Amino acid sequence: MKRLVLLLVAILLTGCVEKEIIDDINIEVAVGYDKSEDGKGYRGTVLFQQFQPDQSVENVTFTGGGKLRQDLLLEVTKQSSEPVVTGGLKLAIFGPELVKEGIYDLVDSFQRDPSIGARLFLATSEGKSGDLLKGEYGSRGNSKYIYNLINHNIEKRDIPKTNLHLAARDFYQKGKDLFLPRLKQTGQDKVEIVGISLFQEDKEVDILPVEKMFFFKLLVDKYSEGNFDVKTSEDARAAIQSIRSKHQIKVLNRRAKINIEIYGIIREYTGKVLTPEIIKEVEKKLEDQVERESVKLLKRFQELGIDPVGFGQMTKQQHRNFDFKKWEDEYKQLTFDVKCDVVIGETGVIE
Amino acid sequence: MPAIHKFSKTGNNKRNAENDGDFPMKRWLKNKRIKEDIQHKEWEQSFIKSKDFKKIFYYNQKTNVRFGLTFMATLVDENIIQEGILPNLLDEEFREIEDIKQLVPIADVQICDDPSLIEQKIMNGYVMLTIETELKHFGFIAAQKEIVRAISQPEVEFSVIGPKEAFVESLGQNLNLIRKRLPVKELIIEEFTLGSLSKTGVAMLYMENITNEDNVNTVRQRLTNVKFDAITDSSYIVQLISDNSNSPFPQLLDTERPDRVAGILAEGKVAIVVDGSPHVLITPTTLVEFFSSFEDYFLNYLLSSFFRLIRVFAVAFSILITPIYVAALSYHYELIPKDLMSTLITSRREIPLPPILEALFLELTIELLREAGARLPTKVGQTIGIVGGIVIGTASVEAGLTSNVLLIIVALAALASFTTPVYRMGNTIRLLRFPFLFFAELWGLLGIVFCFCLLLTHLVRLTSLGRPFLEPLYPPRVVDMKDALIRLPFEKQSKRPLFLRTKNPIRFSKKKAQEKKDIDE
Repeated sequence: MKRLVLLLVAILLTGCVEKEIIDDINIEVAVGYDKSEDGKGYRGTVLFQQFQPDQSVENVTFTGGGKLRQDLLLEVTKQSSEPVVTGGLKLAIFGPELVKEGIYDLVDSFQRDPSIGARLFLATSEGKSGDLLKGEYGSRGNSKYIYNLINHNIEKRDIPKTNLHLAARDFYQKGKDLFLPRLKQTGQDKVEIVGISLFQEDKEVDILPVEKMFFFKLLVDKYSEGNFDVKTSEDARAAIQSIRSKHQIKVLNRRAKINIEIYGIIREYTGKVLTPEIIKEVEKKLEDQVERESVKLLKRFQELGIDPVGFGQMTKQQHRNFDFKKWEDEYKQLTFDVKCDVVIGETGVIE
Repeated sequence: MPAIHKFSKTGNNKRNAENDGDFPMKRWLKNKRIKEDIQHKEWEQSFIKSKDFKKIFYYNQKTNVRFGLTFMATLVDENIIQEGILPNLLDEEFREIEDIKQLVPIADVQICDDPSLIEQKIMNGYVMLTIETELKHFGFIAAQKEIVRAISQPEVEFSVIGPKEAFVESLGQNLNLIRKRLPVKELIIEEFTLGSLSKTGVAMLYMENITNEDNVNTVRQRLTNVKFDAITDSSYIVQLISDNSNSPFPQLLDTERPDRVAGILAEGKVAIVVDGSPHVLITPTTLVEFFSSFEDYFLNYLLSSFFRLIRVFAVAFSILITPIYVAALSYHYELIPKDLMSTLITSRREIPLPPILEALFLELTIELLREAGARLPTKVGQTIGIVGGIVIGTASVEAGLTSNVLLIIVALAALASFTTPVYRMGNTIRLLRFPFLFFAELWGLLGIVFCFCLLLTHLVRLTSLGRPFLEPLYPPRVVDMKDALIRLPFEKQSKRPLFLRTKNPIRFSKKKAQEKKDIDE
């Protein structure tokens, strides 16, 4: 009896957990932040999904302004018919002016919200992020569309792996700088990736164009299924597919040694006959191109004073008496030695 | 001597029998006889109120000795009296009570002088024989009427492969079914009579050279300590001798398959057979044994291991899926995959009930269908099941009372709960779902984990005959895992289960067993 009473007390007196029944809440699935018109604070656009009986999704956006992320939620709650919850957030986009001023406060608030997952994608936009979210992309909802767009480009194409967790790590880690994919609305129902935003601290300083993204990913991430075209002569081009790559970086005496290994398959060739000599040539061409472009990229980062590859962090791992104060000068004097090794494994079914 | 003796009230027969004699001398002798055996005695006072109590007197043809037969007409087999007892006692030379052992061609004939045994013997279907010359001695001749149902196929534990015999309601027949399968003298059958009114015969079976003595002693002690008036089925014994009678889990396994009983006796367990019950109890048992069907032993070990794992999965699924649905929809929308979200939300949009009421409504519907189906004749029951399932389910979705996603989930959970081979465990699983639902509603997934902890604590503390119920999972016994959630081939099962602490843990020599000879050798 005593036990029963204790059990009842334990059950009845414990606090209530906040109930969030899925059809009685408005789940925030994407959010875009832009600088507000008056220059103070920001203007946020929150995207919700409204599921239609025929299983299609209607995009609903609300906008609000403020100085804190909380302000935006409060404003949106005033407009929404059901309580707003943040657990479904998949995408956060930052507008161009805001990105130049710094996004730290906003990213930080995502991290502090326990219901937001670490796999949230952060991205920057060319043009207002609010407009980007207000488009109509696909039938499964804007959030899902853009999320999948970034996701498959990470898995199979040229965007290095990124999400809230990795971005926060890059941001807080000394000796490595943040980069985020950059999106652009090209039409009312189209959006595309137009490059990678490179950050110093939490401010965007440069934009990497699409053409350079292949080399950038070789340096910061590994490929598991990539694509690249190599021009062998005036009228002959070879398409390399199924690229797998890995890289190794060693910093020694102000010299950074970078080894990149690439394995690929030629699937398309516009020249006459694909002889072993030509394959050798393709390999050589690609090696040269990767080495040349990589060094170019690294030099550019050095001039800007940013380190998205993470040389500082890698040096710290490899050296016992590492001092970040000295490193900033050392990084400026670092020389790069990129070695690339390309292996073409197959050339298709017909020889 | 008439071929058919009519049994009617005491006295009528006496006169008929006495009129048999035609000689005046005989009649004179009769009058001189003492009448003590004919008079009603004190112990008969209750008996004579019953219509089926018979006390009849006869005279032997050769010696003119008067003897009486006392019995309950409803308990004895008339044919035995007419063909086995009476012709011999009437026609052969019958002088003293010792003669019946030679005269009556029945094995179970006893002679004793203890009047206190009379009631019990008569009630057990014996015919009491008194003889006028020896009033202090009684003869008891076994003439029980055995109404035994024919041995039929097992219905609860039916298996496609393997023997098709099932126990019936007779103790003797059931013991025969078991002994036939273990024809060794080491199989000991101890008998008890339990129940102050029902006087039910209960037999305890074990292998003398294998079974741990502690187990046997515990069962013996628990059985002798049983205090109950009427024991009509082995289920009574289950509840009366269980270690923890407050637990929803059955701590004794019941089976209707004689082959299963023979199998567990050889393993070193104890079996309890109850007269009048077609279910034999097995003890000590473990939780995993409730998920093993005896058919597993008839199949290849790969298949049976797969089926056992499916059953364990089905049980977990059946208990947890509805609570998880309630928890996820009420508290943890973050956990729901985005692709599933639209299905869930669109199916739930029009529903006025919160997830817990929706789930309870459907669960109770299923329980009602089950109860109704179980109480009705087979044919009607099936119809109710199908009609109820389809019509109520579809109608409640169309009426917007429940979501079709939940309907699928609850139907699957009900289906999964039927996979447990032991019916008793299936009932337990039905019940377990409801506390989980309650805690899921209260605290979400945390509540489910909390409830699971309570369940686990209970299971860890539970014992069957003092042996841990959760073995070999806890305490972990790797050796016993060979026949738990999976089953290894018979060659690997050379040892008896460790937790039974058998006298002889070796089933067979492993080395010899693995020599498989080719025909060329």
